[in-house]
Amino acid sequence: MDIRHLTEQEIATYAEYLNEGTLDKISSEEKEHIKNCDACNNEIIAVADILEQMHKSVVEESITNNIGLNISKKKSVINYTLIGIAASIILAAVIIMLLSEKEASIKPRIADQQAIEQDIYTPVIDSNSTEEVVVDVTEKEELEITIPDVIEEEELLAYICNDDLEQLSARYNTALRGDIEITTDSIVEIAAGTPYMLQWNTSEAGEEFIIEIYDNKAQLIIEESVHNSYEIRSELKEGLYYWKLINSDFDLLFCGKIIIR
Amino acid sequence: MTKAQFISPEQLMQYSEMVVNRFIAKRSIPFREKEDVQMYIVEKFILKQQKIESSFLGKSKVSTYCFAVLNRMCLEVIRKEIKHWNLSDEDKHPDSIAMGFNSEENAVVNDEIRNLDKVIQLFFEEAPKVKLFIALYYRLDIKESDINNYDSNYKEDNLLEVFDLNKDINKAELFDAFAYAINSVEQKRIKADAVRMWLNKIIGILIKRLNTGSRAQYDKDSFQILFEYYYLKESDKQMGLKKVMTLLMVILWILGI
Repeated sequence: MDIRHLTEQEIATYAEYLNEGTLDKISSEEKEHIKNCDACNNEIIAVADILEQMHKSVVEESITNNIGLNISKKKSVINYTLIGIAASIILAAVIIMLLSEKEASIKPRIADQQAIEQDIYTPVIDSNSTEEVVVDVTEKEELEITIPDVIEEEELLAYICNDDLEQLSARYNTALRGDIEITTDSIVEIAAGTPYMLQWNTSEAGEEFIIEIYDNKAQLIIEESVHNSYEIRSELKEGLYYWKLINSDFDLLFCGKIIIR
Repeated sequence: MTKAQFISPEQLMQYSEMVVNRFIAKRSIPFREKEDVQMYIVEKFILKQQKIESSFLGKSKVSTYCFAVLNRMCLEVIRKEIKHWNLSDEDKHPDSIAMGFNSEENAVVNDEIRNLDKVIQLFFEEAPKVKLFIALYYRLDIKESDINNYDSNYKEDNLLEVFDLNKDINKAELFDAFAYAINSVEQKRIKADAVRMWLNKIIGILIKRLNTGSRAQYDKDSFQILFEYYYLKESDKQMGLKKVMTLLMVILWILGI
């Protein structure tokens, strides 16, 4: 009995199946023949091989044309691409982490702003009084909040405390050093455009002092020679300021806070 | 379908050159005969084009069908002319005409490995069994995926233990293990001797098919080397993918995802 070999059409079809990995499309009878027939087996493999080479040439040519790389460097391009993707992911992660840290550092300053608001409503303790001062929390809650609900970012930044100057003003809260008695409150709140007198008592009449006013960025705005008082100028903008009183020996006598609204 | 639509003259020249180049790379056709053989098959194609076109049933691409036709024509030429050709080392394919079938060492090995893969795939449902048993026979590191391809219930059938090559066993015990595996998985009753004969026959068929139409003449030893390359290369591909996946997992862990 003559063996029926595969036709060219069948060879072509099965060669495509072989490359696609879809050999299960071939009938079991044909499979049996292919398994046992060296000639048909080899023809299928030959055509599949040529197809594979043709596709490979087309892919390599398109890569060379599009990217302009040497064909022999195709594999290293793929490797570098994978490394590039991994590096991009790591870089993105680092950027996200840095941005998160920056956001986290701004939040405590806003919390400080809330602390300033509390300071305003905390009664100033008179160091000469023997009375026990009781802070009534409920009273505080009844106080009308004058700060606008929506504060522009720029305005908010003007009220952010300066850490170093805060520590300094906290240290000089007693308002008494040597023969000097500061009669002005340690924290003063005044309306913008309203003049205000900073005052202190000194044992020596005519004694000269230096007053320095800083903004909340610790920038020196005003430096003047004074005697026992100083009038805050009305042209100071809204924001938080610190003032220092220095004697002629350049000793720091006092540091207070001024809030202009 | 008109002649002009089926295949253009330029495509015919290109396809015929690719087919002939492959036989030259396999050293079935001497390089000096390249032009003659190519012209012969192109002329024959043109003469028979009407019949060729009418036999095309559209079950494959036109290009693939043309390759099959031209390939068969080339085989006929080789059968007729091989006795007249005196193939020597001087007929080795020059690199400049490679078109993918070049003679650089790695490319030749890759071509042979690709060929071997196709030959094994044409065992169809038996292909996973052939691959696995030859790998075991050559005492290569077996991949669990290959055992799974042969038997998806390999864990229940204890094949991991059966195929454990860390045990010091001789060839007879190896074929006993093969017989046990086949009887469990395929519900047969065969003995170790039958498995030995089957495996030798399969290796013989593979060697014969690799040697057909090629000047490469594999014997059992050189076939073993080729198979080891083939099996290792497949493992490398899987390792490469695993490395990329591992790298991605590490990156995601660092990000805290």
